[in-house]
Amino acid sequence: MISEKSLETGFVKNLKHNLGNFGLSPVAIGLFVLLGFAPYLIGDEYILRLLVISLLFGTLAMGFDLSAGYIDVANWGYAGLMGLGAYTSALLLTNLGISPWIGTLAGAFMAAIFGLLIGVLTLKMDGMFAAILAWFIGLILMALTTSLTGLTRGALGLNVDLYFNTGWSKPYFYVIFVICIVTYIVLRRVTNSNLGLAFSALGQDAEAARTCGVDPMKYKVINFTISCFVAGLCGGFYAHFMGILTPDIMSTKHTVEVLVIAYIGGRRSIWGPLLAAFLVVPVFEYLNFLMEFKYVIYGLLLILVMIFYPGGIAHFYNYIVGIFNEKKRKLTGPESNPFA
Amino acid sequence: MLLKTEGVEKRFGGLVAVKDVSITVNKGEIFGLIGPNGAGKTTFLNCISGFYKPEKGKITFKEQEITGLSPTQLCHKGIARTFQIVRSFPKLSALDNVKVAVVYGGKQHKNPEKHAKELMDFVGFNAAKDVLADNLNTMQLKRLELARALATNSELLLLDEVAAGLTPSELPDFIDLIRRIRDSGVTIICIEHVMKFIMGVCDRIAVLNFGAKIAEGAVEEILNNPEVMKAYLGEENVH
Amino acid sequence: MDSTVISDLLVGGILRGGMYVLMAMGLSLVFGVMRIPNFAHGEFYMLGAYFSYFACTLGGFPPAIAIVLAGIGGFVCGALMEKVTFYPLRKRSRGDWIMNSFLVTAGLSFILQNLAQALVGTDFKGVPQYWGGSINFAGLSVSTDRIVGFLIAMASVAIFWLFLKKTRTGNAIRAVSEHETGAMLMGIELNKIHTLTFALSSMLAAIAGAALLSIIPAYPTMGLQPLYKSWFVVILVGLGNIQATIIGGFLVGVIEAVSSFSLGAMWQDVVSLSIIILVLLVKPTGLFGKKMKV
Repeated sequence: MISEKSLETGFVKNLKHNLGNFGLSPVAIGLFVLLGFAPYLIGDEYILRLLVISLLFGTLAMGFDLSAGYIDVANWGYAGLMGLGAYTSALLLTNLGISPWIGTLAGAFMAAIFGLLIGVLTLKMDGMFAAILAWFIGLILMALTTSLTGLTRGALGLNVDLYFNTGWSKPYFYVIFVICIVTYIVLRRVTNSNLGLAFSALGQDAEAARTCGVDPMKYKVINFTISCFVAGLCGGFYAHFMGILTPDIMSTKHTVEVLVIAYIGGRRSIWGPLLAAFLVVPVFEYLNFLMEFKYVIYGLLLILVMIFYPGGIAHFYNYIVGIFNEKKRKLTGPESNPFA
Repeated sequence: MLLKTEGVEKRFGGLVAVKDVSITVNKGEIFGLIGPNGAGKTTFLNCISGFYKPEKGKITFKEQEITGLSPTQLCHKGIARTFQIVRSFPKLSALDNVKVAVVYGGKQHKNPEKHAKELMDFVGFNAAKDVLADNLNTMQLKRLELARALATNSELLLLDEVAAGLTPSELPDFIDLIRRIRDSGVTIICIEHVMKFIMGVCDRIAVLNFGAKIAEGAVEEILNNPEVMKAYLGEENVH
Repeated sequence: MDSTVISDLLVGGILRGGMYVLMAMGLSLVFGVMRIPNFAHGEFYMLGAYFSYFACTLGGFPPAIAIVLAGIGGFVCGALMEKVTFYPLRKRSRGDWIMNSFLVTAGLSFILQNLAQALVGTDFKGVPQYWGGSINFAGLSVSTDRIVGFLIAMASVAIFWLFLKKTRTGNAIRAVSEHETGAMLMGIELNKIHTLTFALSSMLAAIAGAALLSIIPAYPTMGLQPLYKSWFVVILVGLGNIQATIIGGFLVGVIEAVSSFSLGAMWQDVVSLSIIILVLLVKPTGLFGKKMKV
C-alpha cells in the first residue's frame, strides 16, 4: 500500500523492486541501453564486429558461470556443446532447409539434451566427473565432425547460410544483443529465486544441502541443463554469423577462453562474466599479433586469478560495496543492499 | 514411540562400527547417546539420518520403515540433523542459509523469509541477518545450524555434539534453548560428551561402547551402572 | 576372426595399453595424494618427447640415455611447477580445492602447449628409429622400438611400484594418499611429499613420451590424446586406485585395438566412451573405485 504522500518515491521503489526481480539494477539498464545504441554511435565495422564477439563470449560466459559458479561444476566440454548447437543448426538448414531461427533453437535444445544426459550420469558424484565426461563427449563430437566428412565436410569447413542477406554486423549485433539480454534476465532471475538458493546450497556444501531437503540430483541436473542450453544457443548464433564451421569450434581451447572470461568476471554473479567479456575479448583481439604467446598469457592469467584472486571482478565489487555499506550502516543503521 | 531402531549394524570393510543397536525414542523426549570416543555414536546417527545405509537392521519412524532412505527423503519425513563440525553455506547470507531449509524442507510457507527470521530469533541468533555465513563465529554458526534444522519442520532432531566447544558461561543459555526446542514439540536425540549438558537436558540415555549398546535408561540409573562406569573409567585411564 | 588376427589385436592392444598404464598411474597418483585432477599431464608427455628428441639430435646421445634424460627433465619440470603454482595455491586456498587446482592445471597445459608452439614450431620432430629392426613374436613381426618401448614402460611401472611399496618415502606417499592429516601427525612433511609426487608423476609421463618418440614424433598438442586416454583409464577403474590402473590401461588398450579393427579407428573413442558410460551407470565410482563423497 502506498500512501498519497510517498506516491512518487513509492512508485520508484516499486519499479526498482520489480526490475530487481529481473536482475536489472539501474546501472545495468543504463549500460544495456547504451549498448543498444552502439551500432548507431559506432560507424567502424571492425569495432562493431568486436562488440558482437564480446556479446557472444559474454553470453557464453554467463551460461558457464551458472554451473561453475553456483554448483561448482566447470563444464569442460562447454565448447563441444556449443559446437553441437552450431552444427545442429547448420546441418538442419543445409540438409532439410529448416530456417536458421528454428535451427538455432533446435541446436540449443540438442545441447541441453546432451547436458541432461551427462548430468544424470555423473552429477551424483563430485562435480569433476561431470566436467570430465562432458570433456570426453566434446572431444568425441569433435573427432566425429572431423571424420564424418560426407555430412560435415570435416576440416574443410561447412559453409552455412547467414541469418540475413548481408555480411554487415549491424543486424547480427541486435540478434546477439537480444539473446544476451534474455539470457542475462533469465539467469539472474533463476539465480535470485529459490532455485538459485538450491544451486548455491548444493555448490557450497552438498551434504548440508541434503539435510535441508534439497534433492541434489534434481537441482544439479536442472542447472547443468540450462547451462548447456545457453552453450547450444550461442553455437547456433555463431554458425549463422560466421558462415563457416570447422570442427575447431569444439576444441578445448575455446572452453578455456570462456572459462578465463567467466573467472576473471567472478564466479556466482552472472553479471561479472558478461562485463569481463567486454574487457577481455577486445584486449586479446588487440594482442592477436602475439600469436601463440596470446594463449600463454591466457594461461598465466588463469593461474594468477586462481591463486591470487579467485573471486574475480564481482568479488572485488562486492568487497567495495561491503565497505560502503558498513560505513552507511554505522551512520544510519542497517539497511539492505540496493544492488543485491 | 517416535523412532525405533532394531539390530542396526554398520560395517566399514571388515570393521564393525555399529553392532546390533536397538533403541526406542519416545515422542517429546530428549534422548542422549553417550560413549567413549570411537564408540560409533556418529556412525549410528549417520545411519538414522540416511548418510550411511546400515548393513543389517531396521529403523522405524512414526510406524513407518525408513531404513536406507536418503537424507533428502528423511528431511521431508521430518528428521533433521546438525553436524559435529558445523556446516554452513559460506557464501550465502545467514538468512539465506535458513531460507534454503524453509523452502526445501517439505512444507510450503507463504513467506519463507519471515519464517526464517522468526526461527533465527527463536534460537537467539544475534548477528546481522544479511552477514555472509563465512564471517560468523562458531557460536553463531551453531545457532544458525539449529535454526536451519528447525526450519525443515522436523519432528525429530539429531544433534551431534552441539555443546562441544561452548564455554561454561554459554552452557546454561544453550541448555535452555534445547529445552525450548523440545517444548515446541520436537523430539531430540543428542550425542554429547559434556556431562553437565547430559545431566541438564536428557530424559533418557543410551551408552555405546565399541559399537554396541551397553545400557539404556534414565540418566541417574545409567550413571550408576557399573558397566558404564567401567567403559568410562577404562577410557579415563587411557588418557 | 582367425587366430592370427586375434593375437595381432591382443599384442597391439597390450603394447598400447602399456603406455596407458604408465600415463594413468601418474595421473591417479597425483589425484590420490594431492587431490589434483591433472589436466596438464599430457604436456609432460610432450615435454618428454621433445627432451628426448633434442638429446638425440642436438646432444647426440644414444636412445637409452636420451630417455633417461627426458625422465629427469620431466621430474625437474614437474617439481618446479608444483613449487610455483600448487604450493602457493594450497597455501591460499579456502575450499573448492579440486576445481581450483583443476583450473590451474588447465592454465599450465595452455601455457606449455603454446610455448612449445611458439618456440619449437608446429612441425613434427621425430627420430626415424631408436633401435630399428623387428622381432618375431608369437608368429607376428613387431618392430623392436615398440617392444623396447613397452619394456621400458613396464620396467618403469615395476620400479615405481617397488618404490611405493618398499621404500620409506614411498610409504609416506601412500600414507598421505590414505589419510593426509594422519600422515601429517606422523611427522611426514606434506610439502615435500606433494612436490615429490607431482615430480614423479611428471617423470612417468615424460618417460612415456620419450620412449615412443620413434613411433609418435613430438609436436605441441601431442599430449591431448594420451591425456584423455589416461583419464579414460582412471575413470574406468576408479579415481585414486593406483593398482587398478594397471588392469585398466591394458583393458582400454585391448578395447581400442578391437574396436578400431572391427569398426574403424574413428569409432574407437566412441566405443571406449560408451563402455565408460555403461560402467558409470552400473557403478558410478568406476570398476574398482571406492566411494567418493559428494
